[in-house]
Amino acid sequence: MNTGAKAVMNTTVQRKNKTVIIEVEGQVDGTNSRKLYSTIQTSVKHHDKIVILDLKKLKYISSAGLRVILLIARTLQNQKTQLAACSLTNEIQKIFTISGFHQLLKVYNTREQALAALQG
Amino acid sequence: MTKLSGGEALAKSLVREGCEVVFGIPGIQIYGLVAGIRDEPGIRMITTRHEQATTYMADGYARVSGKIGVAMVVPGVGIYNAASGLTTAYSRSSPVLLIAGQIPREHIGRGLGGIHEVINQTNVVSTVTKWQYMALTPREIPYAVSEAFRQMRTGRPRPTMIEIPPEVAVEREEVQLRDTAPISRIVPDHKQLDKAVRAITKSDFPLIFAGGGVARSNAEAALVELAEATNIPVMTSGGGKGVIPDSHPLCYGSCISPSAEQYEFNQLFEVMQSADLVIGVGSRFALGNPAGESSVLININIDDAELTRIQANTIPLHGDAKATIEALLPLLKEANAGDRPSPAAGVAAARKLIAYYDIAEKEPQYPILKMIEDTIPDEAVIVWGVSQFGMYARTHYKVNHPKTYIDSGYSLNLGYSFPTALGAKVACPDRPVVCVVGDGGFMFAASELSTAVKYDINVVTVLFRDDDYGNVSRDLNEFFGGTYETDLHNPDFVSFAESFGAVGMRAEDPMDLQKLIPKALELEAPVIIDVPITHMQLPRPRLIRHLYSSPWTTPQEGLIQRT
Repeated sequence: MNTGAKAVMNTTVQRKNKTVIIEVEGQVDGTNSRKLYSTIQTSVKHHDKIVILDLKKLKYISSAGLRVILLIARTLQNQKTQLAACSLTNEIQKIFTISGFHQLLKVYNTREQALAALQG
Repeated sequence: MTKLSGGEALAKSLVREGCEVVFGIPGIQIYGLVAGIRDEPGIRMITTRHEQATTYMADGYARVSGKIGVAMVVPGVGIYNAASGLTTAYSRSSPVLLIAGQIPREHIGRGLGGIHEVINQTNVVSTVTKWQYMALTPREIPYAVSEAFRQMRTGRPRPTMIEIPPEVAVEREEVQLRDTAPISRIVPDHKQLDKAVRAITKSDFPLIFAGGGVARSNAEAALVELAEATNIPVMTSGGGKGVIPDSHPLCYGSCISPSAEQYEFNQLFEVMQSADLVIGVGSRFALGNPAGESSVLININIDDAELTRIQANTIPLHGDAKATIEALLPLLKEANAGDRPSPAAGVAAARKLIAYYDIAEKEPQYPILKMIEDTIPDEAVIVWGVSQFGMYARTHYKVNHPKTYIDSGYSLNLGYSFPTALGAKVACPDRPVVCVVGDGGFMFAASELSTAVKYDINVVTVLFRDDDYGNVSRDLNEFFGGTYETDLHNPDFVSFAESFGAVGMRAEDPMDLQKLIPKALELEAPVIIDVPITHMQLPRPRLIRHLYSSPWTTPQEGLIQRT
């Protein structure tokens, strides 16, 4: 819920070869969605093939956050980098389903499944 | 030059400005003016039952037609009564001309106690008009009318007033009538336009925030072209509803004001908060820009007082909305400003989330509002009274045609909606016009049912009746130990309507409106649909819920700390 205070969000970036896994923790809303965008932008290189957003610790994402992910998806698509999300909690799954986002982005139950699908 | 009376000069001058109707009440000091209108082809007067309705009707007429609404009243108390309509028009930057009588010239300012005398009556409306003039001779009247119209057609359109003493209305002299003053639309400086274009092409999360100024400038088509050419999504203020169809894939919808909803699960606030560039078009940004100084604000506004008020990080573009957008478009196209992914999918996702969260928040109003939306024809003009349904309509009623949504702006005054709807219908007799109002607000101007019947102004009025000033009653109960004198003694609204010669209908349940509204619209008569909602517990309107955190809404132990 947006109370006017800045939402808390942390990101952890792991890289192996040309695969980038970005774990997003906390809440993504209007106060910090641009920070998420710049984190992903700076973490992903032009030659990366796969980017996975691990959302296991994400408690809430608003339209502002979804907008960021969409823009990232389009950008990565242009450079032929695959993007997927994994490990959605029930709340995030609900947001994805209600917003129709689950049809716009590949979603996997676990990180391992995501890696297997995209690297295979 | 022609020898004319002041009344004749007034009527002819109004016709030259394109005025076809004056909403007024005849009275002793304006007989000469009334006769002038009576005798002039191409213009007519509609007489209301209370002076408040003259300016409300003129406002409704102006908002729907894009023309200027004209009202005429006797001096003194006539102006006081008409002032309420001017406050609404002022709050929504709507061009309404009030023509007011005066006491005899030699008595003005002397306090002799003349009929309808108010000393310095200009002061009554000086804060809700942008220009006032007293014509002391018939030959001044063409100037007064021409300048009043020019004032309302340039800069920020706001009400004006002309006073005419009774001698002037009947005296005759040589008068030079005037052509309509030429209007030049202001376009911003080219350097500023270039600066704006550079900012737009650099932005990653731009947003257009469109206000009522788009409608006043008749810039609706230009706005849509701007959004499509740049792939930038649009959000509208309450005043901007309808400037882009709500069904447009780049339209997020409306928020009552950007900062008012930050305490809720509000998707629109958060989208705006996350913008790195906001293009404001014809909006006052009543409560600021949620994106703040970390975003660039390109502020397109005809009112130079608004340009840099909101934040320091601003590129001001002082200009008419339509002319400014038209100047920007070729520059934007040349700069490939539309070379960005379409935001349509993000907009669609946001709209679905809004619908989901708001259903939970807004029960039980939401199903009724949705049903009304599904029932009333898309092209209908709807005038929303100050009621629960009116507040929710500001953000959640889908509007797909320009100039079909009318509200009272920040004026939020009870009583405006029914006469305003009548004025709107006069402007568009062939289009359905519906007024959605509560019983409290309707009774302020209920006598205008007479006006509706007399002039065949066939508005359908959906009247939600809880026999109470419901919002006030709830708040007094919750915070002040109990309600007090908010219950309303109402007539039987069906019989009441019928007593005027209008049609009265009654819904047993609000959902009956699904059948009653189409039936009422078919009748082509003034119709009142009485909708009892006494059984409904209506929560505080969430969209102004932030106001309830103000200390002055609850009893205090001591003095309120000033900030």
